[in-house]
Amino acid sequence: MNKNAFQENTTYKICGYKGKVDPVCRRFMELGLVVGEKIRVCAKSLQKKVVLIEVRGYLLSVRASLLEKVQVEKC
Amino acid sequence: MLEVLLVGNPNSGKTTLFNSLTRSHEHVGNWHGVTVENKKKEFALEGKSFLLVDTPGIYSLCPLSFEEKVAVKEIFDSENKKIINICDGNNLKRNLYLTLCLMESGCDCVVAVNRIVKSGKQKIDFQKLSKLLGVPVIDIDAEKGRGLEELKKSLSAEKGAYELPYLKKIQLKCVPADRYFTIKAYERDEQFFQDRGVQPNEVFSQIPDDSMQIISKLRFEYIDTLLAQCQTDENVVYGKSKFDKILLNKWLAFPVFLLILSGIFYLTFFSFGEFLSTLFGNFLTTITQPILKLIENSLGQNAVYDFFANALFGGLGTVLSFLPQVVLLFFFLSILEDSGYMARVAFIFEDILGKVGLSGKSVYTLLMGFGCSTSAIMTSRNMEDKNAKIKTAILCPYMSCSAKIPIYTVIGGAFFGAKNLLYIVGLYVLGVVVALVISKILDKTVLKSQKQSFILEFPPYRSTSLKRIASILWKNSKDFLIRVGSVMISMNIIVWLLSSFSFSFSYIRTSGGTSMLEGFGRIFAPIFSPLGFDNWAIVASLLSGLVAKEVVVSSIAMFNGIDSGATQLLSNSILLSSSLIHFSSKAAVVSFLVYCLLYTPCIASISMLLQEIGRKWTIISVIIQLLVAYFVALVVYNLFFAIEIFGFGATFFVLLMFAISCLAICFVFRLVRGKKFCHRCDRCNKKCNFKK
Repeated sequence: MNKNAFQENTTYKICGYKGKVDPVCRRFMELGLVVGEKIRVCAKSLQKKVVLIEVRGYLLSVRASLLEKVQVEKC
Repeated sequence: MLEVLLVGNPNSGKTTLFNSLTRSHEHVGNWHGVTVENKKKEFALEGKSFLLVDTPGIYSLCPLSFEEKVAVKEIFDSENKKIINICDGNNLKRNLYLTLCLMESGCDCVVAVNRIVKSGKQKIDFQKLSKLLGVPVIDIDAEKGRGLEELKKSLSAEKGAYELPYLKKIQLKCVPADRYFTIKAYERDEQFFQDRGVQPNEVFSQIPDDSMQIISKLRFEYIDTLLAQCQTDENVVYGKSKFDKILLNKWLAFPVFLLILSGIFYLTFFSFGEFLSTLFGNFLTTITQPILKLIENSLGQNAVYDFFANALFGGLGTVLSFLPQVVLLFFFLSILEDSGYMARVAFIFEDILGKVGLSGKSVYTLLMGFGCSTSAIMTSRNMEDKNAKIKTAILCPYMSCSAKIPIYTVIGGAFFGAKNLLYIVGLYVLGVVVALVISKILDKTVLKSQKQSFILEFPPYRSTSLKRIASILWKNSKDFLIRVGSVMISMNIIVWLLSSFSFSFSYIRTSGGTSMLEGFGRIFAPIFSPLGFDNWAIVASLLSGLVAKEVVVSSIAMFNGIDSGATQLLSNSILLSSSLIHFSSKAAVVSFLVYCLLYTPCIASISMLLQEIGRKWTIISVIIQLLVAYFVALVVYNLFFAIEIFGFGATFFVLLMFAISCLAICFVFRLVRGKKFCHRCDRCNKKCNFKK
């Protein structure tokens, strides 16, 4: 997933995780990024390397490259 | 003794509750990872003694960063324990996840729902939630103290029985056949099994591949079911604010941040801060002058008078007069911390810092470095990557700490007058630039960062309460006074003894001769000759600054025979007197200030580095600091010296020519290298993989 994969002000639904579950994926799941959950991209940093997402009623900033393992579909 | 552990998500109010229960003044902030180590304090309840332990924030019992490991270790290691699980009342949807993890592990816990920021009309039925969960759930306000009595009473209650229905849905046929082992296997917590001597892969082979997804989804579904029954949902996004449209704007974010930072420095070092400092200095002079006069009248101007005038009132008074500025800087930094803006700063800086091998989270540590390097180094623990943690800790001392304020103000003020503002800003910027360059070099050589896991939640914006302001002012004033009263008094006595007595222990003010300090200073002085200051007294003040940076100015004050706390007086004295301290040129002054900015920090910071990054990296860090300080001061001295002699225009022209020559050499070298190496395709300038 490249840095332009997530578009601002767009809602996505999590479909699953690619490959082996590593500690970062586990952390995502602990933070509420579980299958079926909806996330909304609120903002991106200047170089689009960091995204601000809205999940389970709170805001989370994540390095975009870390979200590569999260499979999403547009809502 | 029963241990009561305060456990919760980061920024849920654990330390605030710890402070309220034990009447402590531990550092709190509206930011992820303020607490990085366990804090313990006894407290009594109905005649019984408890040991209250404040742990760093965690999201689950599978730790990721260093400080999370500390918290999880404490939870599993304590035997006679009770857990107060603090949940942020505005974000129960996520906070209850940890509650379920704790309950699954069989912990005896009480849930304290802390509501700091009230969001609209959201209502929670605590009794119903308690009944559904099977553990006591108490509504508290950790800051104002609401619900604390009820929370204390609940600690005496016996552990109740509870059942988590969703656990029936997961396979419990794992080896070893223990419920919690199965849960940890589903979480794929390799560390947990390794610690218990079990091969993780053997266990993982018996459970589905998507086990972590299954268990986390089951937990969140259960939380949703619970909250649907006892919380009114308003669809409010926690932490969302209209301010973010400006503060996170791609084009406005950086200018706004710089504006805020400039405002803080302006108010601290000039205008308000300077006014308070002068006022406090005059106040100190009013107090010390009659005492000195009394000593002079009764004992005459002997060694005792000299000790009081120079070592005690002169040296310490000068540093003490900076108390208002130091406290003001900490006050502004604390407001930044409390406001919730720091998470936004980490977000906007992640791009830039990522390029030099740091994480956006490093911003917090580096900004804290402007206050005190020692406490800032400790906050580097919230990094997940070990190399990033070492780098961040090494870089902290390059951020100009508050102890250096007296050096810039006194020495810079004496020579540059009103223009000193520009020099101070320049020094702060130089510290940051040097830190970034060093980080990049370390990242490219010995401390390559792994893929950074920058995951950070945004707290809501919050204002600082009056109670908190008073606490900040009190704590920092106390710390500063203790530092001045302990380290500086002893250091000043040592410096005074060394500068007043010769190697044959005769008092040099009456018998004449060379003092011990002068002797030592003269040994090291030639080393600093290329930097423009080979005066033994300046070198001696730098040596004494290794203990604490404030001692540099107090030593200078002592050498100049200043017996007052007034900054202005000291500045004038340095500038006008024929005293020991004198600089050959303004270039030498700038070089001295740059050296003070970059050379080895105080002993406290070095010991903290030793604790956090180990002996090897501490030694490397100190060597780097000494070399970098020397090299940068040398460059700055020669640059300013050239400007003094040839003028700015000519120097700029020479530098420009030099830069163009370097670029030309690079260009030619690149072409030559290209022709030399690329023998494969004859088309590109690089060594390529083209096969003819």
